[in-house]
Amino acid sequence: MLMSRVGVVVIGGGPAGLAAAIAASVDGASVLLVDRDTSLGGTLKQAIHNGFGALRHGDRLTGPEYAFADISNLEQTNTFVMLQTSVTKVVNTGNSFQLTLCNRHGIVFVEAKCVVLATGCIERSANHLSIHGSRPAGVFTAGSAQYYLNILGQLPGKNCIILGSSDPGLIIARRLTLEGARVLGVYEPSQSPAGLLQNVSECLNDYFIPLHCGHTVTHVTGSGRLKSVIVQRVDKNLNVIRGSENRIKCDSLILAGGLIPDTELADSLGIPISDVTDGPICDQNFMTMTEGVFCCGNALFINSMVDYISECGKIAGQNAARFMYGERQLISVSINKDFLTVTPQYLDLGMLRGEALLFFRPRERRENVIVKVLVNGQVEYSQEFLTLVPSEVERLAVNFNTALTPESRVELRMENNI
Amino acid sequence: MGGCLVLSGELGTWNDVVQAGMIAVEDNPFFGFVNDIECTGEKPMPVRTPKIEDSILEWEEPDVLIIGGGVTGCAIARELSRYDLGIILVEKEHDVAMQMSGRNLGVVQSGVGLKKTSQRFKFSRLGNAMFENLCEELEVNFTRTGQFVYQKNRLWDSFLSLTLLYWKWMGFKDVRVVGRDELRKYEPTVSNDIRAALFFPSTGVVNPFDLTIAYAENAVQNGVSLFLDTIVQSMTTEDGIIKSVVTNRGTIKPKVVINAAGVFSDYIASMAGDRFYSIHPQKGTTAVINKKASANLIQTVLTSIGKTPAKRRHTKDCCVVRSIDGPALVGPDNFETIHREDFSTSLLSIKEIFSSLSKIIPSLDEQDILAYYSGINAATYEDDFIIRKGVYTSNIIHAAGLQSPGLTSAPAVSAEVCRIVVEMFGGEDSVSKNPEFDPKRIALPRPSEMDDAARAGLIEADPDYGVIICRCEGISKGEIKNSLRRNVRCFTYDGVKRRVRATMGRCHGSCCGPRVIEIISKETGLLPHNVRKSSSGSEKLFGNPKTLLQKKISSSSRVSNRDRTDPEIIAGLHKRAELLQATKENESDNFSGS
Repeated sequence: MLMSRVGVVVIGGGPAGLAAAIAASVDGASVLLVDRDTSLGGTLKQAIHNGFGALRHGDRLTGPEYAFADISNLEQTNTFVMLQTSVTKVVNTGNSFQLTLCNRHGIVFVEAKCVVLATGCIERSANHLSIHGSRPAGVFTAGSAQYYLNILGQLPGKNCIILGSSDPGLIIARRLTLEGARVLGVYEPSQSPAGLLQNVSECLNDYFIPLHCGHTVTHVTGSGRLKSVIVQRVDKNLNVIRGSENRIKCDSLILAGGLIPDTELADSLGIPISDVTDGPICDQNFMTMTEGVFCCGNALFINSMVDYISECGKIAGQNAARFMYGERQLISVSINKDFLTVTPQYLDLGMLRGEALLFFRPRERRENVIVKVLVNGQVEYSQEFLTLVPSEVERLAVNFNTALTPESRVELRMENNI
Repeated sequence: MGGCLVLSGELGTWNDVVQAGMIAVEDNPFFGFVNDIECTGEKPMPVRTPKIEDSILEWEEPDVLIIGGGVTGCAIARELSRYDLGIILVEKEHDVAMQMSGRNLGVVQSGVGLKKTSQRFKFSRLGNAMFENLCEELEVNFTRTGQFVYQKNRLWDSFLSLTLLYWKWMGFKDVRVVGRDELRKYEPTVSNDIRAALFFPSTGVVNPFDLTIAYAENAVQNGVSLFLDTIVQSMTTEDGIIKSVVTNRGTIKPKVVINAAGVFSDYIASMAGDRFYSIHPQKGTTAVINKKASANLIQTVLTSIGKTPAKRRHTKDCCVVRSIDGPALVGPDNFETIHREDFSTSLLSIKEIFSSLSKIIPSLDEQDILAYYSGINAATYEDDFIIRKGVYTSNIIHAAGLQSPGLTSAPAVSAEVCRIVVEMFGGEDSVSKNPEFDPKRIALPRPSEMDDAARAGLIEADPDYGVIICRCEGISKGEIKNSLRRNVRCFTYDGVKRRVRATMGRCHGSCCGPRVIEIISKETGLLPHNVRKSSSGSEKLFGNPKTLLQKKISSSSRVSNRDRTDPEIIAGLHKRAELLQATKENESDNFSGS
């Protein structure tokens, strides 16, 4: 069996994978970047709206522009890129990874010292959202509607209902409106919008698209094409309120119920997955609980800013390039009920150099708070936030000055700023 | 022979109509039973009809006309193609296996729980034994997983070995009793409460639409003419002989008609003037569990027997099945419905299934549901298959009432129907064999199931097999492309889905769906907005938004009635229409060229 050897294999050529490949290459590793599409950029290619790269580029770039910047950087490195290639199998041999790749030229075997999973995410669909009724045409996820509209140049619906107010849903609402479709309303089961507040104002309010929080779609009708949907109110615990049925005529239902990390490869390697983020559990270098497997971007946890994805990818790539097998000293980062998630969930003491990034989501909307990182009860780091909302991931760059020991307790706390 | 019992009148609800039928059919001294009671409260949905109208079938005079492209109809077509007969198979949907044949659990049943004297038992036992050979010929995946059967009443567990004698008498030579430990060795998720179960090794699993499509493809390969989107509208009979069959695509004059129309078989029987049974449709919903959870949930087939406290005669019990393609199937529930094609699902069904099974498999979680679907069983009031020559009409054969285990029985039923047909044409001696009959159907290659060397060889032959389109199921572009080049042509999104499993995974086609449409469009020449999801009117897209906008503008600036008389305006309008047409054509040219 002919097997090529590389230092790092990066799986996925979206923003996370690009950043990881560049960082690993710059750090001197031999890098192979694998992507299943015909060109790099991942979902950015179809995200033709602007607003990307405020932190990294100080500008509001479009998705393809943002991807192009990274692709140009990648071309400066020695990264080997394989497009239209899928990873069909990854085997962990204990000191390396054997990957089976498949493309138009056949089956390729690659042995790598470590693997970076940058496989992005998948969308929740009708069955995840418990919608019943017939199976008409005209039910799309927001991402596929975006692909039809922006890549294929095809209108997926003329009179659309959008279920879910996650960012893809808000953005597709605006796109559909701009392309001449009527968006009858955005329905969100929870009591507050799931996407960025900025997007609610720019994509819905500016176009007079109504947002109905506390509503969900429970039923679809239509034999060929979608004819109507039944919208019902839901209570705070997301239970449908009986008797609140309202039939709305429409020809398309766009599902924007949110994203889930794609963990297909991580699952095949038996990597522990977090119940909260739905992505692999990792340390501050974004290495998963399986040594040698790194994970970054939306494959790790669902981000709200592409800048954070690139940053996360960069760290994963750098550490993948420097990766050596060795004893890990993990201490957990604990959160209380004020927080929804924190990534990384662990800190590896042996590898803790410089600042560590902690990404978190609050459980509920808070204003004017200080988020503190405590080590053994002592404040190690604190940062003020004017507003925190569950839909937006926030980031802390923490320099641990106190020497951490395996007995140290690292905690995140939130306090009102007075 | 005696007559046929006919019930007529009016009742308020469909359940009452069915109840009345059930009561009437008990100890029915006559040979047939027709329930003509009208339901005043509910009207059945109209039959889904194809939109095509042409005369492609006009003047056709086949030896045999088979009505219905389900597993039974397709199996009969393939079986008859062994003989030198002119055979036409008509199906009203745009693909085969669109109704119950594509909407069941895919269990090749052993015959547990059926009456020994029934046709259902006879044909399912015969059919079950034929599956190895059949699936090898048709290159369809089939595994004998075996089936665990537990008693609903826990008191029975200690006495299960006593029932062995009964099962042996029923003809199940290989049945055995497994204790709790052995059961849990095979099925670790089964509740501890179940202390013993019966194991029937002969039960297997098969992909039901894969089998039906394979049957149809092999039939077509052997000379059967398959007409999809073709509905039988009426028949003319003379002296108990069907003279002609009117369809939306012309009038056919067959010598023999085979009624394999599933839930509509009593409609066909009545057209033929040979109505002696009624179908009361039973709907069942099944939940599909995602692959990840399925792997730990179930390995075989798990069903129950015995009485539930609230005994209803036609209630079947939910089962848990590991399907041939990996996902576990849970269900179905079962209730009477007036609608024969209402495949919608409801939350209530899912709740019912899960609440009834959660005691048996505690780890069953609604969160793991990947999808759900409904099927409609074509049950007769006699609760048995009807496989026989017509009673009042001499040149019709009914293969009707093929409820569960219809899939299992299909090979045996088709052999029986074939025997009757040959008999009608004067016996084996007067019907010559088809010299070109080839029982072997070559399936599409499945690269994801191959080893690396075979897969590399396949990719070398056609590089498209190396381009993975559907990541969840590992389906390549080559498979999708070639599924559109088979002899049973179905150019729809769902057609591709059913043939190669693309878009069936956990992302439900949100990643690969658009690519599938692109491939269908490129392969068939259809424009993307003409590619349908399934039946007519189910186009997924509306076309280029810029063109649509142009149309909108031109129609909104339409001149008023008074101006329309002005010749100058009319000339201008014509010119603009021409211009628009030209740009549209240009655009479509550009598209197909790209």
